[in-house]
Amino acid sequence: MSLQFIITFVIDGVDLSYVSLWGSDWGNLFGVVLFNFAAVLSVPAWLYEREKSVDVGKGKESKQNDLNLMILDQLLFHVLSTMIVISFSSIIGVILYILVGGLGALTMPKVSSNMLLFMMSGM
Amino acid sequence: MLNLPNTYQRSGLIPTTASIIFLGILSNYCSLHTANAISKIDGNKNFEKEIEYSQVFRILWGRRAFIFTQIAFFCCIMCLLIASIVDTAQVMDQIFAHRQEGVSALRILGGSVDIVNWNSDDCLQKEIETGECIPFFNEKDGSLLLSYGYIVSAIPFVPMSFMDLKVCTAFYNVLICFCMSFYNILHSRRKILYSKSLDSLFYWL
Repeated sequence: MSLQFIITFVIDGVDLSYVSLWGSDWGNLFGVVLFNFAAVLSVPAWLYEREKSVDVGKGKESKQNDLNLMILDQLLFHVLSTMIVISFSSIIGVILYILVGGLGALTMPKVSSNMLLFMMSGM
Repeated sequence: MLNLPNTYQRSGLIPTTASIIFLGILSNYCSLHTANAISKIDGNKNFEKEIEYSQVFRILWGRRAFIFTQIAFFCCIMCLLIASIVDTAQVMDQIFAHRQEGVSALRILGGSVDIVNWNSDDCLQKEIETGECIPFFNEKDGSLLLSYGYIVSAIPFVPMSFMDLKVCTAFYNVLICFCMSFYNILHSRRKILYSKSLDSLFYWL
């Protein structure tokens, strides 16, 4: 769905005059952006409800006899696999937010606080 | 995400992009830290136990931390929910107003109930320019409004409120496929994928 927005914004044509580099009002900037990163609240529920095939740190089988090495190996795997799933999702989220937000601002003049309202009004 | 274009125009390209990157990194590390803390609870190395957000604090820090985080969690979730419901209802109202002659709402003010109408033609030029040509935006007399948008939004949202996260996600995906199919059936004369008009993009979505 985000890709659909991005493709259409690009095809519609961007106008650099719609957005300034530093803007005029930073009042609600952090609030609006933070609103989009509330995923941390759902992480505990996701950890339990995820499909079992989604690996979030299940220790892999190891043939090493050395107990310490095995624990270290499993711990490293645990941390890395968790990081990959969550970090990859965060990176994709950041990229999509920048593309949809930035291109949307460069495409629509004086867009409403909710861009769907602007699109529907046909202004 | 729907508010970001407006934020870019108001706050500028550099500050908004920097904020998204900074808060994205922060959110990522908070999520990783939360997952790490949950995995350290006894017998939950592989996340077998159903441990919700505040329970982690109860197990690790005690009852006071549990109550405090539960209240904070509730307030945060309620803010997200209310903002999302209002946004969705406004968009639905805009759809009705755009497709028909206007949109109506039930207004409750001081014990009296009446019907109030809104039409985009009533918007002033200044409201159009400032992006305030929004259904019932000028109804600021403290009255309660129940518009078509809220009623239509409640139809899919109420059943979803009884589902858990996994079923809810599946239901959400089915709902999107249904909406897209339904629209394509209604507007089968032309399926718009790429168009010069942003208005038609909305219909495709």
